[in-house]
Amino acid sequence: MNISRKAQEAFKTALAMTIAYGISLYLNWDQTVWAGIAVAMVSLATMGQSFNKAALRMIGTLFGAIVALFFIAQFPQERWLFMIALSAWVAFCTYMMLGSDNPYFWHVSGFVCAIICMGGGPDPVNAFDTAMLRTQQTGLGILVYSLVVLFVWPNSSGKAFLSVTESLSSLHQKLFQTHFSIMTNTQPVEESRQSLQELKQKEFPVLNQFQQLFLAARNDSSDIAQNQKLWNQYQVKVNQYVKTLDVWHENISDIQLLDLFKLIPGLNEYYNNINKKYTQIGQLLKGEKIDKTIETCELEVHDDAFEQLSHFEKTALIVNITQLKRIDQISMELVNLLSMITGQTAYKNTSDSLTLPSKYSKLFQPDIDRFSAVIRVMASLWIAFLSLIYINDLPGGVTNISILVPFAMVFATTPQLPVAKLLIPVLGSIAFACLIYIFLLPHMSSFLSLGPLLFVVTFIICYLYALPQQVLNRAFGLVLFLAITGISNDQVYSFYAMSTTSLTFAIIFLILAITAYIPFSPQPDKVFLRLLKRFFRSTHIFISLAALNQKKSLTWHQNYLKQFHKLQLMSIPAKLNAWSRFINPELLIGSNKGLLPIIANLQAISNRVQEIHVVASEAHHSEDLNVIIQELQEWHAKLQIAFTDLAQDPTISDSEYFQNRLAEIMSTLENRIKALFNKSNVQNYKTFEANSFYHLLGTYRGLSEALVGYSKSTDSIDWSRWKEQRF
Amino acid sequence: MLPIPHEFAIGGVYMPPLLVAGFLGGILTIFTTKWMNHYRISRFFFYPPLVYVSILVIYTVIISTFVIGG
Repeated sequence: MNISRKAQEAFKTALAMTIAYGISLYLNWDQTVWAGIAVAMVSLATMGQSFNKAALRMIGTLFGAIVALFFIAQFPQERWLFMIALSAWVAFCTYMMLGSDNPYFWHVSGFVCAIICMGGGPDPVNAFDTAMLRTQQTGLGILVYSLVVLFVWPNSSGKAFLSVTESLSSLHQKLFQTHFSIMTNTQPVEESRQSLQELKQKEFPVLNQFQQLFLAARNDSSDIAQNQKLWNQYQVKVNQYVKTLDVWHENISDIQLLDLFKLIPGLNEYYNNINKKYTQIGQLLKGEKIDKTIETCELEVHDDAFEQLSHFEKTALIVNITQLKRIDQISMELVNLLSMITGQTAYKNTSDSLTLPSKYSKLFQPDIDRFSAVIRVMASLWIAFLSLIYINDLPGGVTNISILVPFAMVFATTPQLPVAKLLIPVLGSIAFACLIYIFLLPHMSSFLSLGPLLFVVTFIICYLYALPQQVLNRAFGLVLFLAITGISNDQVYSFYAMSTTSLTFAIIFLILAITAYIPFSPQPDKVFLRLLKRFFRSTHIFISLAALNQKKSLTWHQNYLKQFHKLQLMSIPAKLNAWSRFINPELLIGSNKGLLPIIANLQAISNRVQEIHVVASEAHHSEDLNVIIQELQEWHAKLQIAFTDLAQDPTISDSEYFQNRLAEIMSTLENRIKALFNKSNVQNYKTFEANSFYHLLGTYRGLSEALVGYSKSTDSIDWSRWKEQRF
Repeated sequence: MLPIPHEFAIGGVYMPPLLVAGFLGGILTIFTTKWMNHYRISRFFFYPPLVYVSILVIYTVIISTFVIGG
């Protein structure tokens, strides 16, 4: 019989739920619901992913329980100090949750501490029992689920990981081919750009899956676990490849009109060479043997053809060749790593000389978005706490805080998720649970009848909400069913308890809806504008710290600022991308490409500004080049002014003005360089000095072009509607 | 004449009048603010979230005073 994967996973969760409830009720433990919630929360698509989440939940529970007991012991009679300590811990966990590799651990640590504090705080005599009960029920749920997935249709992540790795490598090969065809104009530009956009949209989820499955596969697949170090390096190289493709993409348009096959005679060989490497990667991932490793390809420039180019064209060509060489190098390293993983070549240490992180990057770097999440959680927690103290007979009482904290942490860390969107699933789940509680549960007299009911309900919820994007619906369905039915050995049926639980959720959602506006508006368009301003403010400060010909080195404070704004530049384009999907389409009327071009240009600005820091610090130039360097300094100052204006209002950019200014600067510089190179001996592009100078010039040109691109992409949007106040 | 304050019974379950008035007020507020957004009236407000709460309170008070009684 062929049972679908969806049914298999639903069956496993339902079986684990029934067994966990059976054991807990048999042992007469209180709060059986906690074991059920543990099963509901750790059930994921593969064994490794579930084990990973289960381990984080268990360690988080232990950690949270210890902290809670400490607070209860320290402040048994001091409710304000007790709440201050608890809220400080929840704030710390929320902050850590947003920047950690294991956010689930911090999430569990935060809300378990709140649950135990609220369960044990008002009743300190039983606080230790509450903490132990929570820990043992969670442990039971995790143990039962782990055993079930281990013995019933075990589903290792290893195969899925290899298959995703193969999809990713084939996607990267196609991305390379499309970029190449755009660069060499071998296919219609519009067609290539269209396919490039489609491939880029596919890349993000596959890359995400690749990273998540790797974490799972190293736990449940011995092959992956044995070569964990090599797979880690493979992952690093894949990320480097993605970054290099992005940088290459930003430079391609500058050389599209050149006769590249004449300028670089070995370009066709290079193309075939990269394709062969990707074919080998595919073969290695399938477990096939490869003949021999292909070496890197030389990209020599035809000297006569090169001399006929303008200096800006030479600059663009050199920058592009650097990226092509980097792609060649990375793809070769990927083949080497895979042949070592598959045992086709002997292991050798391949860790190349990575750039050491700056000592300032190790210092604490405040993150504005993480702090705003903390403020939101704090506001929710304190509103719940103050209403508990000052409103008599508030439905739910201390339970409000226990239930509120996990929700508040989820909403604060995924601010794109509107509270109102979850209202319907929650109301539906409450209604469903109430129906079972009123009409079915009273007919159950022993576990023989209760067990099948638990199994069927869990199976139905897991089967209906099996897709990854339905995870919240599934979690709400299961948790609310378990919480409202409140199954125990001394089962009580009370309409009052049921209506109180329902009202508790109404109060919690009301608090969450209010605090969504603290400290900033959660409306996606407002967040987008705020992030844009922050991006340009950071760009302005970062670029002002990278002045050319800087005589003095940066102070400690300037270095710290530089690192802080670098982090902002690196992270904001990705945040904007995440928010752009939630913008009301009515605000984008008139702009046929939406916000993608804006984000692509911001990413280009971010890359170029960071490059300026590197190139400016490495630039070596003789006295001959001083005139040009002065021109570049003026260019630098003009860019600084443009970024200051954009930081004030990112929507005021005038693309025509920027375009004309850029053309003017480039024409002046072209003439100056021509005059200078005619009389000096810095003619050969292969000399170190000329190469570094061309890089510097290319970076400034790239930054200015990205700025022009940004202002062009903002022209078609009616920003006045974005700035209007709305409900 | 104002209605006499009384509890609200649905299927034998008695509910406080403020709860029902609040619920109806909430629904009316959602429709009113959607309408204001549609006709771009909301741009005349300095801080719409506070206006939202104010409209909710006004509706709740009106309903509980003149419709349900409470």
